[in-house]
Amino acid sequence: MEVYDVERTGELIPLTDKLTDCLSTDRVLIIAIDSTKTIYLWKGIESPVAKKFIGARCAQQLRGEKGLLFKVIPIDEGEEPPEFEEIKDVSPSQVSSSKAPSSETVVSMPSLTEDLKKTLLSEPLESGFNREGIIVGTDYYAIIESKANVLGKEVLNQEIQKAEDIPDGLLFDTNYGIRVHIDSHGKVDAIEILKKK
Amino acid sequence: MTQEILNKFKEEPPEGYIREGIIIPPDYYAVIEKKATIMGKETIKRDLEKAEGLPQGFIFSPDYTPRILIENGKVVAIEILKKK
Repeated sequence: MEVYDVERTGELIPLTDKLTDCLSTDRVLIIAIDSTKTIYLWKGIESPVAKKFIGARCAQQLRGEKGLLFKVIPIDEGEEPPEFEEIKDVSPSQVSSSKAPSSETVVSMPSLTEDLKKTLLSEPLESGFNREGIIVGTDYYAIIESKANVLGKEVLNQEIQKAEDIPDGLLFDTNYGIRVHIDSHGKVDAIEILKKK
Repeated sequence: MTQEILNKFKEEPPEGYIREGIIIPPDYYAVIEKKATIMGKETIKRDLEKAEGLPQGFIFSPDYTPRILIENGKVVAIEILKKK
C-alpha cells in the first residue's frame, strides 16, 4: 500500500506512518493498493477545494502510471466505506521519492469548481460594475450571456465557460476593475474581471 | 519560473498608474518600497515579495485596474495597477 499527501503544488509526498495517523482533516491523501487495484482519494473535511481538485488530477495521473485496471475511488472524510476502515491500521510501504509519481506532469493549477463558483456568484458586486470574466489558475472563464424568446417572453441565461484561444500579450483597459478572492490559506483562488458600467 | 514571469514586468506600468502587486496564481507578490537615506540623499528601491497571510475573503477597490499577461492562451500573471 502506498500513501501520498497531496500538496498544493501538485507534488505527492510519500507517507510512511500508519494510515490512521495520516488522516487529518486538512489533508487530501491518495492511497494506492496494488492487490485490489484501487486508488482511494481521501479528502479531509477542512481541506481546501483547490487541494481536492489537485488531488483528483493526481489520482488520475497515478492511475495512468499504475495501469488502467486501477480504479479511483473518491472518499469524503466521515463517509469512508467499510473496506477503507480495514486498511486504516496498515502501515504503507516505503516509497522512494524516485518511485513517487512524477509531479512534473501534474497540472497543479486549480479550476473553477462548483463551490468556488457559488462563493463568487453569491457575493454581490459593487454597484457600477458587471462581471465579465473569472480567472482561476491559468484559465480565463468568460461570462456568456444568451437571450431567447419563449412564447414572446424574453429569457436571459448566463453561463460561465472556459475561454480558449485568448490572444497572447498584455491586456489592459482602464474600463476594467478586479475583485480578488483569497482562500483560507491566504492564497489567491480567483480573480474576477469587472467592467465599469 | 516565477522569477522569469516577474522579470516580464520590468517595464514601467501604463501612464497614470502605479504597480501595486502582481498575482501569479495562486500567489500575490506585493511591491515593497525600501527607502534609504545616504548622506542626506534619499534612495528608493522597489522589490516584489510574495505576500503571506492575506485575509480570507474578497478584496475590492474601484481604484484598481488589472493588466493581464497571456501566453499560449493561458493567464500567466495579473498585474494590479493603482490609479495615481
